[in-house]
Amino acid sequence: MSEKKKLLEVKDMYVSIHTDSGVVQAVRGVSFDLYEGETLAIVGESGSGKSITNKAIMGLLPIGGRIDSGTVLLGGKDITHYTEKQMRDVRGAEISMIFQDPLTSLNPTMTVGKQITEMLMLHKPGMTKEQRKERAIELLGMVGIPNPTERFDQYPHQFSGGMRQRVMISIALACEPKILIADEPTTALDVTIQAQILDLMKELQKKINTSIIIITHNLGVVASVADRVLVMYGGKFAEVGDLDEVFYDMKHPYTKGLMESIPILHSEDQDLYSIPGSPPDLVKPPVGCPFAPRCNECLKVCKLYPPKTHSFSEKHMATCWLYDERVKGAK
Amino acid sequence: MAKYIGKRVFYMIITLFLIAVLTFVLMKILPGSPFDTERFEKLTPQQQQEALAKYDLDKPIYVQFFKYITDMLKGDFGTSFYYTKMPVTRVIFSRIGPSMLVGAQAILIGLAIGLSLGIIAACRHNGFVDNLTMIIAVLGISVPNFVAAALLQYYIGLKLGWLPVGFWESWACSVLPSLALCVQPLATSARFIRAETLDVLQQDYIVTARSKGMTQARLLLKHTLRNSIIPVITIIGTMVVNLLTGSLAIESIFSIPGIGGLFTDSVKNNDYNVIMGLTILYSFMYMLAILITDIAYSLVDPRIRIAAGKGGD
Repeated sequence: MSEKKKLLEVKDMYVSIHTDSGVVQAVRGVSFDLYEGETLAIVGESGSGKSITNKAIMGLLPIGGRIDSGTVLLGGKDITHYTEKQMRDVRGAEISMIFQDPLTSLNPTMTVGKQITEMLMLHKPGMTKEQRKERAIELLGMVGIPNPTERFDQYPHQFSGGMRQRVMISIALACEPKILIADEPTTALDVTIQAQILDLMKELQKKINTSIIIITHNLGVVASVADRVLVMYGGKFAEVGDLDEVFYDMKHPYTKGLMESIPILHSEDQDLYSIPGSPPDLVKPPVGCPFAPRCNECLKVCKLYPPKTHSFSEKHMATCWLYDERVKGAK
Repeated sequence: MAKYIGKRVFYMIITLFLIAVLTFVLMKILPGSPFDTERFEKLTPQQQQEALAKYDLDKPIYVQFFKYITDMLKGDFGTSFYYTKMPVTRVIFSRIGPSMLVGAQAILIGLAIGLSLGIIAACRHNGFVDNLTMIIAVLGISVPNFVAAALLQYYIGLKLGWLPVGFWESWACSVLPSLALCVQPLATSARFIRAETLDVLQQDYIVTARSKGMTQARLLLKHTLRNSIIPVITIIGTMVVNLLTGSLAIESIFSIPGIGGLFTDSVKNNDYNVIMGLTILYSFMYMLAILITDIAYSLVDPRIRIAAGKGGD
């Protein structure tokens, strides 16, 4: 994997959102890389900053949101300083997105066909109207929608949730982008449909060699699609590594907590484990480790100073005081 | 679609009939008659009787009503009692022109400016245009149109002398009344489209559209407008009828021989046939507006399909 090309490099990104009730420091120093052809899962609970990180990459932060510092290198170029016009050529053509709720993510008053051809019209100016329609029907077929020719002229309300997510995927992949950001793509779908959508994403990834960033809080989804995992907590990254490293040799207590929260079938224990407490208020982010108040291995130092990042292998890193030499000595 | 419209028209006829019955009865219950004049009282009882008989006013209400309805079905709405011997249709049509012209101009100006302002305001939320629009909207809704009319008359008509302050002699006479009347639709439509556009801009599909990398103009025209206009259609329908049927205040301030004045005069004079004719006309226009609104809905919003069984599922 190390010989693979770096597509996207996010370096020390800080994002804040200015709201009426204060400044939310949603992302506080997140760095990660995305390699060609891989699937990176970003895991974390609500409010961990995972969605905001990706919206910041796309330049689609909500009103009041801004990138305070850090860089996003796409193919070596920093896109955080791109003009709106330059960003338009990035969105859809180089990076595209699919969203959590397929029921509300498609324009209800525009035919599905038009929503696909629109993407081609924006980024493939050489195509004629007929070519676009042909390509859109081909895409609909590719994402597994039966009778694509008839479906082309229908409206989103005539599709089921799973079918709409397939349409979203066909729109996102219409211009064969280098990166697909999938923000909780299966959360709103039935369990049986979830697997189908994930399989479809994997299949299409191979076909057009797209890198995928999948944002989720579902570790089952992570296990079935991801090559690497980034765990986020309180706007910071907690742990990153290959799937196996994070799943079988997790270092951060938060990752451990997440793993223990997975319900196990046929378990003797009747109670579901959950991490006590709730995520920090990012209007007043804690000075130390954001997870400290909920951590069962918390030390005095955790609440006072932010932890440093420690490497365990070439790709496996965790941000936690437990692995600091001084702490180890003190134990 | 044809079947649906047919069904709606059928119900419209029934409703119109019920409105006619109700108006007829209420009108007759009201004290007074077209002959409550001094001239009538000077007549001998026999002459009085003859006059009443001539207009069938001596017969029981149901006989009068039956005659009215059968005549109406033949296209005869009777003659006016006040404008002697003039058929009601002619009385109405001689007065409806000015009201409709002024009303139509007011709607066009009001909607054009109101909708554009509202949309720009939503796009520049909390910006200068937004605040300005909200001020205009509040003023426009709270200031009665006759105040606007008086101001326009004084400043544009009298002080600047650009346009006539009243009467109905040329097209120029219709400008000031149209401007006075357009204030309310302008304010209402601006407020509505602004709120709807703000709401639509929050929707997930707008984020999807933005993630496709399109210009702001395209986002607005192709993805926002069609969705934000849907609820606004409802208010436009009744607004149009309200304006087309004339405004008493504006007509009297500008001395326009319009239909609003005719209605109040006819009630004052117990001009039964004119009251009936106008009521049926107004009801018909409202029902037509509602029907057109419903059809417009289905054209703009694909989720509403009116032809049963076909189209949607």
